[in-house]
Amino acid sequence: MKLSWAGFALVVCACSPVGSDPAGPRELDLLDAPERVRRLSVWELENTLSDLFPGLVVPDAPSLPRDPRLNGFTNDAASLGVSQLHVRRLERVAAAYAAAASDEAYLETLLPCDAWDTPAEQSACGRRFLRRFLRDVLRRPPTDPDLDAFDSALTGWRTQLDFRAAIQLSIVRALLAPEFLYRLEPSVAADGNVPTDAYDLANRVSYALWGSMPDEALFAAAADGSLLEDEILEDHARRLLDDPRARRRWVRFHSSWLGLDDILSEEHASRLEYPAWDAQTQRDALDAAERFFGEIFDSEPTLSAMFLRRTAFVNANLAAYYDVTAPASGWSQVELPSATRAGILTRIATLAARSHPAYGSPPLRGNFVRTRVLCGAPLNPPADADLSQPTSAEFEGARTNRQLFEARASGATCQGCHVELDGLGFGFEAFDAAGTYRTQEAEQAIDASGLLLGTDVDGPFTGAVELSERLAESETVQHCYVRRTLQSVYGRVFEPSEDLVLMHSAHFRATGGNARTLLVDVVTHPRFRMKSARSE
Amino acid sequence: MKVIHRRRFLKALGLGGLVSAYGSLPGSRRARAEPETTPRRVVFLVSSHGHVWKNWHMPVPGASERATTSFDLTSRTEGLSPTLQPLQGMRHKLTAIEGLAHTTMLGEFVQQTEGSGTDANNHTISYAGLLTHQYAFQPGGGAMCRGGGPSIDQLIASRLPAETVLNSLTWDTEQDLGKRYQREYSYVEAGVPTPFESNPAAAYADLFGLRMPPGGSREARIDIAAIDAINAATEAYSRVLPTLGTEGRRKLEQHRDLLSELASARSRESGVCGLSFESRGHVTEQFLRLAELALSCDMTRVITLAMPILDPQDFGYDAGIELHGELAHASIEGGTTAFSPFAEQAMTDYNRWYATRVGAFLERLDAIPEGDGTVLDHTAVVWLSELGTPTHEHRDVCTVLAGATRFFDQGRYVRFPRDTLAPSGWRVGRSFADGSPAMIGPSTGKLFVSLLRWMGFDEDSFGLTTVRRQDGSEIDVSGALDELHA
Repeated sequence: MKLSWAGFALVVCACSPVGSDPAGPRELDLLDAPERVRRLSVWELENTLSDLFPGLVVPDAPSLPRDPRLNGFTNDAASLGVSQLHVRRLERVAAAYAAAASDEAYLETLLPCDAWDTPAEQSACGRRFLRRFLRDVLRRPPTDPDLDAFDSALTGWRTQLDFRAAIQLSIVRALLAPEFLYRLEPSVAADGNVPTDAYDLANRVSYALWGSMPDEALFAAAADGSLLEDEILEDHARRLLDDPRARRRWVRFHSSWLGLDDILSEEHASRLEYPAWDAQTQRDALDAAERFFGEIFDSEPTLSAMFLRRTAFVNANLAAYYDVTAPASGWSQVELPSATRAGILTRIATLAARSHPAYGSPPLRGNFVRTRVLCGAPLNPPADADLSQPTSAEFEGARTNRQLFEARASGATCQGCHVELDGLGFGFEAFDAAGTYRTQEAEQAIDASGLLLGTDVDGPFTGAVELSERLAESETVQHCYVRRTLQSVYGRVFEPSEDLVLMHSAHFRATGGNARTLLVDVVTHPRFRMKSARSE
Repeated sequence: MKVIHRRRFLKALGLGGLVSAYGSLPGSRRARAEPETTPRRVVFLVSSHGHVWKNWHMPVPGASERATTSFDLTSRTEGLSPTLQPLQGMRHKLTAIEGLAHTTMLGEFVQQTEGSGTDANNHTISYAGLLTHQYAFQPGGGAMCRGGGPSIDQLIASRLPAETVLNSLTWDTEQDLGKRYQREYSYVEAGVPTPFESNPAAAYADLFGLRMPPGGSREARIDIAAIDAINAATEAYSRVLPTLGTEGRRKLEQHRDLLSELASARSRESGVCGLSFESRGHVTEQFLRLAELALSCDMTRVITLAMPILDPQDFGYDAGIELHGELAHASIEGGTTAFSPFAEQAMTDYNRWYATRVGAFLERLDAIPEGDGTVLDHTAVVWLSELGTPTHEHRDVCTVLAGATRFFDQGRYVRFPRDTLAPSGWRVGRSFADGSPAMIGPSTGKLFVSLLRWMGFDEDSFGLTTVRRQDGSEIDVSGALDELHA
């Protein structure tokens, strides 16, 4: 389906309280184009190196310092700074890749030449290599002065050392270049906004959809300018989404959005009631959650599927926690019971990561839904909050987790936040600290009734399945999803009332909450194709 | 136990001399030969959860609320306080400072009350404000707060000449409060955390490298030639700058300068030290040994180590105890969580654990001769915490300042008077009307100004110069702690 943005330019939605902006909707402002100087995040850099040197094994590359997270994402342009440590590590990474890539065997792959035995062959081969390699590294064709400068240095190194060393040193130099480590979009002499050129656009699209550099087809479309045509751009966007790299980026996005890797935290290394729970269980839980999103990408990439789909991937280890039949070996796809589980909110990675070793935490689970799924501002515990495990006094007898938390937060001051947090969190009480389903606790039937507040689908509900069904239809959730999608693509935080958020939210709803379509919409939107003069 | 032997740093000779003399260099624990001017250094050690006041402080004879008072630690017959007792052996080279306040953080809550921020969590505000002495920076709607400006370590590092391998080292262990909050103390600029290393072995590799090839080999010649590649890349940054806007230029200028420094560092001999690094013991101990190595070899002048929050078993308690809620919040009488003598003792032991490691670190630095003194004499070591007390107070901040003995008058317990009305109620997060009106001592920013002066920078303020109270009046937080100076 070819989409036009003309009809959506002035469409706005009625925002719900969670994630709303008290300042109200902002005017359409074409100056808010994507950030123009962005250091590649570590994840993007690793993907780019992987695509630049396919199949290369680099055993000695050091890890880079982790990037700061903002709302779970690591590509915020303003936060991505550099330090001495960073620069030093980047140099070591460049040296390690260059050394591995200039290995005799890999050079056969890397060099676009049949022979490089004689000085004349080396001279010709070196220049041919540089022309193609620099196109890939700089992500646009090198200028003649660029090419000459690299060629001159390569010739010097070849004379003083040898051809292979010269290639190695040229790679080091290229991998430290600003055009490689940053996404640079040079200013143009113009007032206001101008369209990006085709190479900038190719880079924007590939990093938005793959988190990596453009491929040959995208470079070709940039070279002949066809990428600037609406239909060609959309065709490429759809083509990129059919590539495994888009699937990788999709899984990464959802892992960031929902903090799926929180389950790997040290605090989740054990579950008191499950002696078999170990580090492998943590990794399996994350693996299963990522497989879940991968399968959704392949089959039904809608927001509602994320909350409703019962498909799960289990191995023998996880099957026990889900109480399903274990596969004979490896992983298998199963359908979880429709009465108890639905979508990502009922997966072990999600539930156990908002638990303590001995008990599930309604406030943490509620806060998770509130901040991650609904984009609400964090509600942090006050300084004097008692964060220890609530327990029964001896005379009270056994009490359920819910009863203990209700008593803990019963004060009027506490209720200011906990009515909302626990209203959500109590809906997950049918799942224990490991995310295993239960019907009884302390010889009482589980009470999983909850209350959803601050959304367009407010009201009482019972259990995580009903909550998931409610959220699957929620415009508040859709709005949040669009905000986070834009943040991941544009490299900055989006306020709830920005016109781009409102327009994409409206379009997202109109397309049935199809997340793949949303990505196409985002990268074909006129705003995405503009270069602004803001603050530059 | 894993041992990594440091490779020698070799003097790069440039391509003209391709084959260098990579002769064996003698190892020595002594700091490198005395230069014309002995370097000055600063180390920030940060622990979490504050201190149990009653077990940290020591009574000062003649204490006054109108003047700074002090006494000589070396003449105190009964030894140091329970928390500081492990520092007894180094008391002649340190100052225990009583009465400082996190004034900017207290002011932050005035800002919060007026609706300028969204993240009011005490710990994250403390992470953001401890070393920046600024109001926190909110990157966007619903986002967690970050430092509102460069932190003191990064400001100092940015002003130092590029004479060392790395101008600063930032180490953190990524352990935080159940990993629900990010922990970033050091900031390059507003909203931009300084990248840090969590693994001591990787930090060692940053300093000493692991890929230095044998002298004279092809690999060694390539390694030397790589300096030219770095220089060429540096020039590329200069070339693209004119095509960028203001913000982009600033970012890439910074990157260019750092790359240029790297090329310079690779081009010169970087000291000769014979220590090897052993990855044994608690990660705090590993980083402190690495700090000793880096300082004694003059490979950096600024180190920030955010020490990990301990597990209860680290300091002799049951693993099942929840440190934050069960111990920290219950360790102070008068808090809103029921006081527990057990928790009070546990949090005292918690900080004694750090004091033991800090004391050993100081002793080791003091055992390394340098110039006319020791490495410690030329290094200011500051032990801070992001909170005043485990119950999240920001006054009566307990601070230890050691070393830098020619500049600071060490061997004392200094008590600053609480003569300034706090910006907000003393129990942070509560309104001024509800909390007890509190009097506080000088802001920690003044200590940072003293450190700037120690490092040779004649500044009169760092971060904020004034903090606004809830009633609109202002507190002057500029100036140095002259009382600490020799």
